[in-house]
Amino acid sequence: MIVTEGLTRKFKDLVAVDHLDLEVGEGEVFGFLGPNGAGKTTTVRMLAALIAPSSGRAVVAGYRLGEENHKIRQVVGVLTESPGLYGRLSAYQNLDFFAKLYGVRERAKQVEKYLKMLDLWDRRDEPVGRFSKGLQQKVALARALIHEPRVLFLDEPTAGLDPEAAKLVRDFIEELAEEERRTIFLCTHNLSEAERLCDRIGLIKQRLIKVGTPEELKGQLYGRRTVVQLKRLPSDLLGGLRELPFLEGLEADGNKLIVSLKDPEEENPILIKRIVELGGEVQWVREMEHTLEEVYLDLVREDA
Amino acid sequence: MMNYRLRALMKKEWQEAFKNKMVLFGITLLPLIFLGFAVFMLLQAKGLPPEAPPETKFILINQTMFYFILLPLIIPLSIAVYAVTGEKEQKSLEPLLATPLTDLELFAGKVLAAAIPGVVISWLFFGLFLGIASLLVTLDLVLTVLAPPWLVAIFLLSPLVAIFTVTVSMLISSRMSDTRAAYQLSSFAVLPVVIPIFIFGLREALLSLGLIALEAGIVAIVDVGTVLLAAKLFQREQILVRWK
Repeated sequence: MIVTEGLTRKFKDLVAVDHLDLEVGEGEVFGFLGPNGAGKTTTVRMLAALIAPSSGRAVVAGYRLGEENHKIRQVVGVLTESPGLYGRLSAYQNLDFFAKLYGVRERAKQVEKYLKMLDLWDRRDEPVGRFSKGLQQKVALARALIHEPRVLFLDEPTAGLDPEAAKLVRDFIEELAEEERRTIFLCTHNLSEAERLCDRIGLIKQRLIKVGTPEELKGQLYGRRTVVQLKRLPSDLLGGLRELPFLEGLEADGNKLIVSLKDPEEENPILIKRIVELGGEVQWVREMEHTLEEVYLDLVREDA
Repeated sequence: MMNYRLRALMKKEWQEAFKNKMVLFGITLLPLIFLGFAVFMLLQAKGLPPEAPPETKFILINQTMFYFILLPLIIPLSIAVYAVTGEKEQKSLEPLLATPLTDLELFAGKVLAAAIPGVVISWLFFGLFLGIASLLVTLDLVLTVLAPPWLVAIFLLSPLVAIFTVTVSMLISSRMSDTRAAYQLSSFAVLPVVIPIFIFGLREALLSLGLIALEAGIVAIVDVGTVLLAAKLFQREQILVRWK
């Protein structure tokens, strides 16, 4: 649904996005993560045909960027960080205006559908300037969807919202992804949000650092590790364990062993048996979990 | 025929503008005040003693016309300024630019939405002025304001002046983030059009068709320049990257 090749954008001497090569499939929720100024918004602006790339190519929903910009704008929806609504107009008028711009047929039905879906129908005639930021963001989300876009760009959709409002918006995005099978390109700082919503994640800092599912990213960086808590650490245990051929790494932290393995499902029983044979008293065993936050911070630091 | 996106944009501009107090003041109260001044001038002309020099009467009638040239200058000002700064303040430009609306439609929609009320309201108040004048003053005075110079001024110079105001206000507003500052600066920027009319109005003869046509011609040329300049500004990338 989205393919980019060497997509680059410069602002005078500043390289905002550097040779971005990316593929996002139909129905995929793709998370785009990066620190401030990493080029997330510039990428969205390029892919939504709002600004031109300095070099490189992209195809969005089958249309070539630069040559078929008008068609791209017809089939994508964009939610910007701030709702950007017309505060003096009602929720209904805001949505109706955008439905007209997109040439939506059966406009009234479509506006009603989204206002009802987002629980805004009863407040449809109120000026949106009176709404809370969370409600405004819901109207903005409805606006981005009013023409049933094939690709939805969400730029920090929950930034600046209180936890309750953020949850409302997040739940709605999750619903969209699960039920409507739209391609969603989600820029966010919120790592737990990305982990919860996204099929794959791309880390960007001007150039693309890594792409993969959250699990793949964790695996690529840390491998899979098993934590074994012992009652005490026998003196010859470490030496004995190092003889195991499949062991990729072993470290002790107090009475805790952290063991890196390639295939824990197959290798864990052998490992535990060997620990017991060497006199270790196992209290518990678990797989070491890494949060996406750790992955993100390590990758960004590594890149710096 | 006007396309649906252009119509939608113009309707939205009006829905927004007419809920704005500053705009409402500009399109209702000011024309009423100017109408009052215009009627007052005409009544002064009517009340002149027979021995008064004819130049006094001419100056009064010329000044009456001045108010009707001023209206299409002032009415669109607030709408045009708000059409740009309002979008900036509300951060609504990016979602708008993400739609299939073309750059030309965006520019034309904003210009027309600001200029049309200015011209229509001016014409409406000119009609009202004629009605009041026919009740209060003599027929020859009414016929003076229905002469070709007046008609050219109202029906040709007014729209040209309105376009000038709108494009200049948009050029200024695109560079400013504060509505009031943009409004004040735009008000000064339209002075070059007002001052010649004001000076002509002080002549001791009725404004001639030639003079009005000359002014209209000059404003038309200036309009072409400002429209071309403003159209260059209304390009997606420019708006997103340069407008602050």
